[in-house]
Amino acid sequence: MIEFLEALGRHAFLRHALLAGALASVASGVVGTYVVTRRITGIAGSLAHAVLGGMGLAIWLRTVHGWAWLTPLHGAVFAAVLGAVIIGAARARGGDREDTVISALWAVGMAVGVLFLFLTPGYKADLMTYLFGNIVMVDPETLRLLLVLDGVILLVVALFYDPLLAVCYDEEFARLRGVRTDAVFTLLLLLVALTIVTLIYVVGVVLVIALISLPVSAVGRFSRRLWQMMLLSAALSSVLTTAGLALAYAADLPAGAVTILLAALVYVLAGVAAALKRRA
Amino acid sequence: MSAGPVIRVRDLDYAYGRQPALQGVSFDVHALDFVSVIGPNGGGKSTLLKLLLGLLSPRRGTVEVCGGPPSKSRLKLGYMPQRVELDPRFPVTVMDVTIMGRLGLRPTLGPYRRRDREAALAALEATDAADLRDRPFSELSGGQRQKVLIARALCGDPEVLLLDEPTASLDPTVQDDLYALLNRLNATRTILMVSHDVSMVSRFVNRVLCVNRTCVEHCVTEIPRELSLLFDAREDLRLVRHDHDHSGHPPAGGACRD
Repeated sequence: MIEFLEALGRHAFLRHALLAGALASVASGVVGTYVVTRRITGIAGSLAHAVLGGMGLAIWLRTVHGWAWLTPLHGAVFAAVLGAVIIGAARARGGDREDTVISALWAVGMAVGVLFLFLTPGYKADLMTYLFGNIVMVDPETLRLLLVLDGVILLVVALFYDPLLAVCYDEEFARLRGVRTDAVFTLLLLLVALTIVTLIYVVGVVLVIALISLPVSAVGRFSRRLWQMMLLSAALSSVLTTAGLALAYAADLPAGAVTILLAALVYVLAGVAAALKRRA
Repeated sequence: MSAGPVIRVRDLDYAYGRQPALQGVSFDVHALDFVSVIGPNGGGKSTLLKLLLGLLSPRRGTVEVCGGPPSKSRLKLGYMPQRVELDPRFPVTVMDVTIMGRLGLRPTLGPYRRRDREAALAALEATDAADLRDRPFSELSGGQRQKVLIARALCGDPEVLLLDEPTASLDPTVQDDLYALLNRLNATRTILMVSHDVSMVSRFVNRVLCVNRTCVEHCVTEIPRELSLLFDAREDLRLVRHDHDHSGHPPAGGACRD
């Protein structure tokens, strides 16, 4: 531990990684609370993989076709927003095909990403980076991007906290009270999409899904109100990303994978603690 | 309050695909009625409620609520869904749930105002649930939850309360308590309630609609004193004449408004 603190003083990249973990935790804690309570982790996973397709396409267009202005981030935002709108529309039209659309988006996004990265010379190795991210490669510009994301999320949630809560808890009732529930739900999906895009840049597809669901579920058993759940899960995520980074540094392991397994461990322990509490 | 009926349904047909759910349904609900909608499961009770709320649109016929189509009059309705449809693990307090009834009476942006909080508290007081306001909704008993959901329906100051099986799976004493509460609320508000138990309902309601694809109104009459003694009953016992068959044909007798 001491070793990690010393290294933190020496290396700017570790400080950046630590800060990135904390900033990502704010976004994933707040948005993840909605994802978990509304039970749409499947949608979050689907959007995360759709993003992969967008990034692959953008990288291919940029490298092979010389669209120099197009960055992977553009592709990611495009795919995430498109995915959110498609799922929102599938939902609004009703029927039982919503989860088919979600799974299809998941698979197609991943396939498109793999295909275009394969077609792009020199990018084959990048797939792992996008899946698991590389938090130790974060630069100051990415940190600023994360800060902006956190600001946007907190602003939207401050303005729409009550209708979002009502739509997540009892959508039919909210609609009867004149809330435009389809619009509010699509807003929620866009928030999820935005969060995923930014976090993928920092921590990778798989860690995004872990951060959005595991810490939130772990603290969910101990939260009485939605905002408490947001605060607690953001705090727990920060602890997890920090601990994951320290452990990975000490043992020379990939930070993303270590953090995910730590989060899963805490989730299981919280479940056991809750079960013991019920029995007592 | 308008002079005409609060709810006016004429020749209403509804079908799920080709499966008819309601056929030729007509009835009026007048101000301060306490109407119980009964009928077998799958008979169309919930469909009727959804049509009154404007969540479904009729295939044929008209539905008017408070003098307009349901989509325009929704905010004058206080709706209480069946409890089973809510996620029991959602992190909300009683106050969080109740104050949702204020949506639609406030701007979409920004938090609830003090006025909304006061209205929610007043509604909780009206349903004897004010002392529960900071408790997590998931920790409440069945009867307490129903009181909170009634308070949520109430705090938008509706003209009509639409309740979907408010007493389902409650102890008889808790049911009694809840009916006493509804009876009290009926002094100032029209109530239309979907229910499966006719025996309890008949003590307070003044009208019973039996929905089984078609809709038939039953007479609710005072039982002669001598007869009620035979049942060793409370003096507010009333009689529901459930005298039609369920083949879907209305009885020859016709309506029984007094």
